[in-house]
Amino acid sequence: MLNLEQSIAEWRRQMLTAGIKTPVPLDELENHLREEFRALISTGMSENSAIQIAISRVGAPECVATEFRKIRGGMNPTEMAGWFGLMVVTLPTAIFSITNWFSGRFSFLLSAHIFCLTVGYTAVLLAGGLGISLICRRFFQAQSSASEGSLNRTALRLNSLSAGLVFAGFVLGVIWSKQNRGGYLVDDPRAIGTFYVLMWLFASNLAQRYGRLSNRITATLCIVGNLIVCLAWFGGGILARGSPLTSCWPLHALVGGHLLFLLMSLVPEHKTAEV
Amino acid sequence: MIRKELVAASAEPLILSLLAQGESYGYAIIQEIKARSDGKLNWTDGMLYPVLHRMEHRGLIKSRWGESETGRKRKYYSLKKDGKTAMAKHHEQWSLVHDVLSGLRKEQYA
Repeated sequence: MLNLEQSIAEWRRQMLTAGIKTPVPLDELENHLREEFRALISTGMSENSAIQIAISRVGAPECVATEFRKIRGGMNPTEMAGWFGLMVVTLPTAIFSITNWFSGRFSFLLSAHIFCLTVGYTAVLLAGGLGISLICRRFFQAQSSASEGSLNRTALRLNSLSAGLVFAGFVLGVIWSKQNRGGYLVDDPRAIGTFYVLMWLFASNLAQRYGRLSNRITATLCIVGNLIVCLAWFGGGILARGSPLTSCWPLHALVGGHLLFLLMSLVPEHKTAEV
Repeated sequence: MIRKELVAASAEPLILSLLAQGESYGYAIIQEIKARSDGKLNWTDGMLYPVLHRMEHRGLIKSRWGESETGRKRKYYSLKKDGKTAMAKHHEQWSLVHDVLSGLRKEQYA
């Protein structure tokens, strides 16, 4: 007489040893095993044969575990490049803000404001960079949906992070300005730029989360985000110094380059079969 | 029996197309595919779950824990909007392969 629970417990032990995690997916596999066992029993098969066949149909623990490991294989190169780029900027900015705060040069509010805006803007620029990379790659060759999906997920995460950071930076800046300048930054082009960036980030985040956006549209939104941040960050800085925007040729080059990428994003997908 | 390379390549479009008809769970998906292919499309049962989890990880499908008729927990999968887009793309591409193959076959016997 078969002890079903004991057989399943032994099978679970082998699965755990192979590296299948519990409760998910091991419980899911166990449910499958039990359903298969019941189906085989209903055909008139003996319990001993039914459990052996059900176990063999689920597959060898090592093979199943190997397939699951492939899913958790970590980040792909696109995601890694995005997050690595953010880390490269975050660490020096954090050191800069903390040292200036401790040395008394900046107040805590101003240090935190600079940190949040620098990292937040950088995250938008990195998402824009990923968008540019997608538009350029699909301009010349069809991309797999997996690769485009991964890029979009990374862009969405970067945009969500930047929305939070820019919002925090904006609020900190407003408080600092009220305390130190007696106003709400309305006459500062950088603050006005931050406000526009913030509005854009909220709108684009909502569109990316709830809209039925294709990968191409998502990439285009990221490039527009890049353009807005370039104008707000670098353009705002130029205007705050009292110089006209036209005096800065690198800004012209940045805007021109982005307009070119936006034009490229209007070109329909390079059509080739991908099976 | 169908070659394992083709079985592997067809897993995602088949799962997406099945889930387009309504939510389902691993065992039922395997049985449905077996029945529709007269047992010729044979998946190693345990290999379906990594495919489902990968598709969920990619945002094509979503899952929820429900209850089976026996009262045990059961994981149900359903299609997300990205999954619908991916399914349409799969249909388009598999149709293209089918059309090319059919055309060549007709020419062969013409």
